[in-house]
Amino acid sequence: MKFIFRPFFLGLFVFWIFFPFLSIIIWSVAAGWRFPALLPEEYSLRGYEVSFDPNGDILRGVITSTGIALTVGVLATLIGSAAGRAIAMYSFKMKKSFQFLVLAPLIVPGLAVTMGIQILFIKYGLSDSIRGVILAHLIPTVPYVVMIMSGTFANFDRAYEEQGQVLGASRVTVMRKITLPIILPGLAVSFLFAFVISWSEYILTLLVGGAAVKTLPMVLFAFLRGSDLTLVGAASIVFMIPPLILLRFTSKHLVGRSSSVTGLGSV
Amino acid sequence: MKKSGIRIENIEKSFGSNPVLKGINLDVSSGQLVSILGSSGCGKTTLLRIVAGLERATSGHVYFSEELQDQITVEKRSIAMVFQKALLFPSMTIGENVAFSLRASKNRPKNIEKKVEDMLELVKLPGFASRRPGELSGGQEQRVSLARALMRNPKVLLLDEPLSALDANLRVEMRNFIREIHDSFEMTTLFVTHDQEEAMALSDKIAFMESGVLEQYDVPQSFVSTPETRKVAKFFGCRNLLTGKIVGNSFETQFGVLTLDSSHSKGSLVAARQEDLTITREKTKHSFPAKVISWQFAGSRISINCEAPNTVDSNSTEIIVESDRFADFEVNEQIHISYDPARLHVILRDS
Amino acid sequence: MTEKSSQPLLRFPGRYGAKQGTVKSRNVIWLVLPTILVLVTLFVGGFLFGILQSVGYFSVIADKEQKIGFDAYLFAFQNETVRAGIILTFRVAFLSTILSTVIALAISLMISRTKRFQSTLISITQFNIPIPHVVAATGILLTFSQSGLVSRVTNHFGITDGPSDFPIVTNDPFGYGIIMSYLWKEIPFMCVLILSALRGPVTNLDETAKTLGASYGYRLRKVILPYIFPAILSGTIIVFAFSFGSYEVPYLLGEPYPSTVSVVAYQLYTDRDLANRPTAMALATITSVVIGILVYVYMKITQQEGRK
Repeated sequence: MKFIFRPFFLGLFVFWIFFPFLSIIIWSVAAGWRFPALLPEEYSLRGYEVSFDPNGDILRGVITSTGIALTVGVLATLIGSAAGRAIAMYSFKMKKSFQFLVLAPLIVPGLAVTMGIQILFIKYGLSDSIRGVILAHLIPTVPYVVMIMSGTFANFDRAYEEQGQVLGASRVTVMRKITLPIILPGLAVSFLFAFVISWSEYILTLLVGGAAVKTLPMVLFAFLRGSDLTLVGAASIVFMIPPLILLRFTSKHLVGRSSSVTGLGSV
Repeated sequence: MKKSGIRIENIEKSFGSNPVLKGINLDVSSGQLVSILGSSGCGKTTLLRIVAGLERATSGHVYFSEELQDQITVEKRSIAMVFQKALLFPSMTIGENVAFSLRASKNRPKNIEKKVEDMLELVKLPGFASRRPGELSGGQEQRVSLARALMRNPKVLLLDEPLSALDANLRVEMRNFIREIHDSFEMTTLFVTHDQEEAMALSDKIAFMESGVLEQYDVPQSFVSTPETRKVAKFFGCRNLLTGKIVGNSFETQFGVLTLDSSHSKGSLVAARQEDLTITREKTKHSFPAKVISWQFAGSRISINCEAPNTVDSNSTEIIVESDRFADFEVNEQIHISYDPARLHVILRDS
Repeated sequence: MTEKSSQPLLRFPGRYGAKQGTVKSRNVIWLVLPTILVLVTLFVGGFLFGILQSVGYFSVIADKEQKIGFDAYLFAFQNETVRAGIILTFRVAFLSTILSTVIALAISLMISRTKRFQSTLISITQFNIPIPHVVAATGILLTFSQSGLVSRVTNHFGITDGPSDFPIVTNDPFGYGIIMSYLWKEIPFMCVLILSALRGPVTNLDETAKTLGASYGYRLRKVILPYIFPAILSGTIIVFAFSFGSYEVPYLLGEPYPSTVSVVAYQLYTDRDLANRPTAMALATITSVVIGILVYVYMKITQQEGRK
């Protein structure tokens, strides 16, 4: 009897993970699917045609989102890694306050902060611009990177760098050839998180970018308010693909013995 | 609790296509302390883990006092194990660590605290019960680990290189301590190590393994005087392994004929321990000519490299002699190497 | 296999002593400066400005009178919409957090004990993490709405009779749809955290406990759970804060009224009546403070138990 328990629940879990996708996928290729039909009466690729239309909103949204998310990913990873290294390997005055500062954005809703800062953004011309959106996206992403990288650096043995230095390598070389390869998994996971958070961000982009910056989530949101579910389905699928591709490349680092995610587990 | 013997029957273990244990047979009598000795990768830890139940053998059986253990899970086997790292539970005090097995069992005995205190005194850490794992030194942690294991009062005690992480002086102290404990508890103990000296000093018997095969299982002294295979001889420091042919009670080598003290029917390898050879100026009853090539200090002794010219070809055979006296010879001097036939050992199994 | 027992014991920095010591260096300032700049200007600045606006500064009304005071807060607490929104938000956030923690823990433990397919299971668990919340909400909506996939299936088999016979679990007053969408993303997230923690040196401790005769249940209680506790704590905090403050999911899966605090705040913020701005800011500030207090209390409570 005991042998059935675990496979049953795990099977249920797996089913639960994939099941909601089913309706999205079916809708994305449905031409007409009125209740109570179990499956669409007609199929068509209209949803995808519209999605990939070069003049269409969706494709433009993809390009905008990709540009922003890549930039945010790189910036957040750079900024956060430095801080992560500081936390893990150095002691300094007000370190506890710094750690608190880093963790706070995870707790305070982004909405609250962005509503507050909009006045400044408008004043300095960052509103309705991609630059502003990128800056705003840094708020939720940098803390994640700091946590992940402080976990990575906590496992990193300073002795490797010292070894390089006593062999005559400059600081830059040590960083490039010794440290970088070792912390690469952590960097990959950091980039993944930062990219995905920026990619998925809706309300922050809406507030700061206004009508000028149209990222993919905003396009999707607009469709959701309409009644064209085929388009919603197709756009959702398109929306999912880039993050999943990123996951494919970094997944082996997400759960492992030297996992960088342990940094997230030490709030 | 009555201690039990261990019988390991034909244990084989492969990890994927990689064979780690190739048919081990071992019989440990009740109350003995047996070392499983070998270099890294020989499979000794794997064997111990199979006895513990942490791994399952690919084939073969393990018995404690003739009771088959194969299907019994780790937690139900009457064992206790100490690892290389003390692995004290970080969320508990020392006392709670030591008491762990008692609290984990179905019937909790009374006055656990007294038992813990007694045990800690036994391992010479009185009053440590309220301390925490982070506060102790390596040696102290291992003693706690030992106390924790003994608390279980198991039939079999398993130790996986428990002293390897400690420094040299501490190691000697700790191993004497382990022997004391073993004697007073009369446990059946399996002790895995790669340190030859440790095994020799500690054990009733040694099981020497190499590459997944049990090469020799014997009392410590035998490994030096009568090694059964080439690998054993080499591991235990014999540096002269002479190849040749047995003819009656003589051994014909490339550099001459050596006299043995008895007749043998087979064998093509003879172990001549370097400390059993001496350098003389003149021929003796049992000797052969050689030339001194070099010498160096080896601890408090001298190790002398010689070459004995072959009679069959124009090469020579290297012979190492170890002496505790500085003899007056020079490099390149022609000398004779004397031996005692009784000390030459014919190796019957050349693996 | 000798390798396994000679892995150095990972120590959580600060809890049981760091693996390597920390160093003092003047160069640290360069490492932390970018983060400080970003977070102080954007985050702290935003937060402070939010508070200031909530008490009346920087008023966008062309009113000559700048009334500084806590009127906005009073207004917020007296407002029916806001009150209902707060209750809904608490309910949704608590339920999501508790359920996702418990379920994720159970799933993670089950996965860690499964030998076959373990890596496949782990890959499947990670699958949801990069999926945007909007897509998650869409999926739940299309699946569980009254005209969704499940409704069609039950209708097909005669369990329900038409779309209106299917229970309302999306855009519903209780918040079922919102909770489901949160769970769908949060459970895998916590699983990843917990599974990482389970992979570490805890396996050696677990083996030791096995050799000391402890059953699985006992080991779980005394060895495994205390060890992975920090990971669970982190996850719970992150999940709760997110559930409480999210906008997209409640907007898509909740009812227009009442809706969660974030949605209400945004509505007030973008309202044509600019006098509502301070109220929006007040709500945002209240949200932050509430989450902050709850997290603090939670940490204090669990810190006691963690120390045992």
